[in-house]
Formats: sequence, C-alpha cells, structure tokens
Amino acid sequence: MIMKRQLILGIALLVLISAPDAQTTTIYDSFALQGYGSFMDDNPTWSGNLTAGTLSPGTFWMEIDDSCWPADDPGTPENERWDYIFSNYFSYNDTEGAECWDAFFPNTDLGDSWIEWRFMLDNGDIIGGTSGRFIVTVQDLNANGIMEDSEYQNKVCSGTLISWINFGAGSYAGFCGDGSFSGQLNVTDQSTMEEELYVPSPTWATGMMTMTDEGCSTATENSSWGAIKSLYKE
Amino acid sequence: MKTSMIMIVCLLFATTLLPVGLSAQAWPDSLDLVFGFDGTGNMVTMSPPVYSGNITGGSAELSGGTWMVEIDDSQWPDISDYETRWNYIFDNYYSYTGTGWEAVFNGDNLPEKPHWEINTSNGSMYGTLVLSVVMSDCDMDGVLDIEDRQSGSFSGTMMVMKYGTGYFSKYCGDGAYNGSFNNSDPANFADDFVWGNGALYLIDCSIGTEEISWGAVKSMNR
Repeated sequence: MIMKRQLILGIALLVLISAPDAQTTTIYDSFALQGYGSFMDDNPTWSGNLTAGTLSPGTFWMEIDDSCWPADDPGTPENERWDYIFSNYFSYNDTEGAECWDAFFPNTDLGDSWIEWRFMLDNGDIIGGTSGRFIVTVQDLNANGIMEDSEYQNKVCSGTLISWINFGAGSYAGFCGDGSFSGQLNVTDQSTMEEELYVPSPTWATGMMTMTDEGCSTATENSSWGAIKSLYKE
Repeated sequence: MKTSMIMIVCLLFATTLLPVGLSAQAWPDSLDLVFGFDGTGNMVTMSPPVYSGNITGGSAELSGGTWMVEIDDSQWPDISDYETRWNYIFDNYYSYTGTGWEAVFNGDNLPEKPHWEINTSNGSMYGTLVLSVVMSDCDMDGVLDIEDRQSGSFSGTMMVMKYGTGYFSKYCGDGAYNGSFNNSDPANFADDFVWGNGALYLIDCSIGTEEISWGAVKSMNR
C-alpha cells in the first residue's frame, strides 16, 4: 500500500516536472557587452560588464580553449603563439573589394573544446554554457594579402551561445536556450595585445538570448527517475 | 577655356561622384550604423537560398530599408527532393557540440562566400558575409528532434564592398550581425522567420575614385 502511494506520488512528480503544457515559459532577453582579454594570455578569457539590455547590470566571461597553443618564446624575434593562431584559425578570402581574413574559434579539427561562457547578473541570476563558433574578421584594407598591425587593430566579431540548464541559477534555474551577439574586437594595448570585446550598445542592446523551461534535460530529471525507480524497488 | 573647365568639373561631379539630388559632403568620412531586421527565407526549398526582409529600426540612415542574403548552393542537391537536400546540408555543415548543433557557411565550404545587400532611400550597400547557426539540443539526447529545429540563433561578420550607391557610394568597411530564427513546421520545410540586429563600421574608401576623376580633369585640362 505504502509502495503504491509512493509510486503514484512519484509519477505525479514526474508529470509536474516534464509535462509540456501551457505553463511553458519562454524569455527573450537582450544584452550588450564590454570587456577585455587577449589571445596571448594563458587560458584566454574575455571578461567585463553586461552594459545594457534585460540581462544588465552584471558581468560576463568567455574562455577559449588554448590547450594546444604554444607559448611565445621570448628568446626569439617571432611570436610563436600568434604564428600558431594565425596559421590554424585565420583563412584569407580574396573576393575582390571584400578581401579579409576570417577566423573561427574553436577549431575542432585540432581537438579544441567549445568556448565556455557565463553571464552573472547583479541580481544573482546566472546563465551559461558553451558557444557555437566565435568568428573574427580582419579587413585587408589594401588588399595586399599581408595582415598589417593597423588592419588587425580594429575588427569585427560575432558568436552564438548555447545555454545549459546546468548553469542556470536564480530566475533561470530550469531554463536552457540559445543566443547570439556581434560587435567589435579592437586592440587596446599593442604591447600585451589586449583587446576590447564590444557588443553594442548602451542605447541599443544587440545581443539576444532566447530561454525556455520546456524540454531542458537536467540532472534533476535523472535523479527524479532514479528516485522513482528507487521507490518502485522498495 | 575657364568656363569649359568649370563645366567639365561640374559634369564630372554630377555624373561620377554624386548621385542625383544628394550631397556626398553631407555625410562624414566614417560612419557607424546599427540596425534591427526581420525577414524570411529557406535553405531547403529555395535555390539559391535567399533570406530577405526589412530594416526594422536603428540608425536613421538605414530607415525604411530592405535587406537580402544569398547563399551559393551550386554544389547542393537541387530542390526537387527536400529531404535529400536537407540531409545534405545537415550532414555537410552541421556538427554536434555536445549541447546542440552548429553550422558555418563561408568561403571555405561554399564555392563563394555568401553575399548580402541593403537597399534604402539613401542608396545601397553590398558585400560578403559568413554565417554561423546553432540549434540547441534541449533534451541533450544527441538527436535533432523536430522541436530542436523549430528555433535557433545565428551570427556572422560582414564585409562592406566599395561598390555602394547613393550616399553609401564612398564607403567600404565591415560589420557584424546576430539574431534568432523560428520555424513553424520544420518537418515540412516551412520558411524560417528571422530577426536580429547588426552594426556596420564604414570608412571613406572613395579616395581611389577621386584620384581617377582628378586625373581625368588634369588630363583634359592639358
């Protein structure tokens, strides 16, 4: 009798958790970013502030997997790390009038892991996960096929984001989703190659996230199943 | 001699440097623009795939404009069999990230980079772009369910070519865009509805044109 009651309770609990019903919530969020980082850093991470949109105020970070990248040898005139990045991530496109280099991070052919990211709102809410591809494009302004420092200085970037339920907290607990951003990646310090990631803007928040609580796989669901199985066994 | 010289200069200005009724001097040497957009398109049922729609907000210079993106599908199966074509796209462009699927469309995996254009009452701009698309695997089962195909996000970077018209004729530069898409019936390959935002960073690239014009004037004067 007790086992039956537990089983019914368990099934009811499961239905409450997983039923796709009118209570599904979808949230359309916006954001703008301003932060700093460098491909030259160990574990290159861009971090800074959520400056506008429904996800502000708060902070963010985005970390690129550099486990295959060499360090620069200060004893040589070359920058071995940059040379590796340039050779393995940038490709030249010679379309007349639109000559440029496009870079795609990660390069999964090299075994790179997907980029990780988090948004941490000042109110305690957190979302995060992995990114799709982070794209960086450098114009070849004089179309000579050589990337000059002045061309690398100011460039554009974009990225897609996948938000895992595992990292959702606060209002986003139980939510998953995807999003995107685009903006600029500009060198702010030539000596360290520090670069500013800027996703416009304080007045027009262009970053987008779509979050839903429907169908997200969670560790909770696994434990619910485990609990039910456990109850059923009793 | 002087009169004819002035007339030639005016004629050159009117025909080569300025569109009718516009003053290029009125616009700055560099111009940062932001824009919102929406529209529709379909990679499976359209050949070549075209996404197009309206500029919905942002900088006044782009107000009321329209946009278009076209992807070179010359190596894809034709549109006579949607399932075959979709399977080709999915198998050749999408990869599983562990939490979703991601695809890139660019000059490395297409015969040509996708190209775009924006048309406004102030003139037109053209260029190339790269496109990255993600679809979440919400239930993390590694299977692209119909529900997974109903929505997603995209982003990319843009090159602005120096072949614009109107006020935009002197500009080139770069830009970037991002957005989301919905599909009401992916099983039957309904059109995607897309919306998002973008920014263009334009600089005056007309120096070469001016040099040619001045050279012509000097030549005529001689």
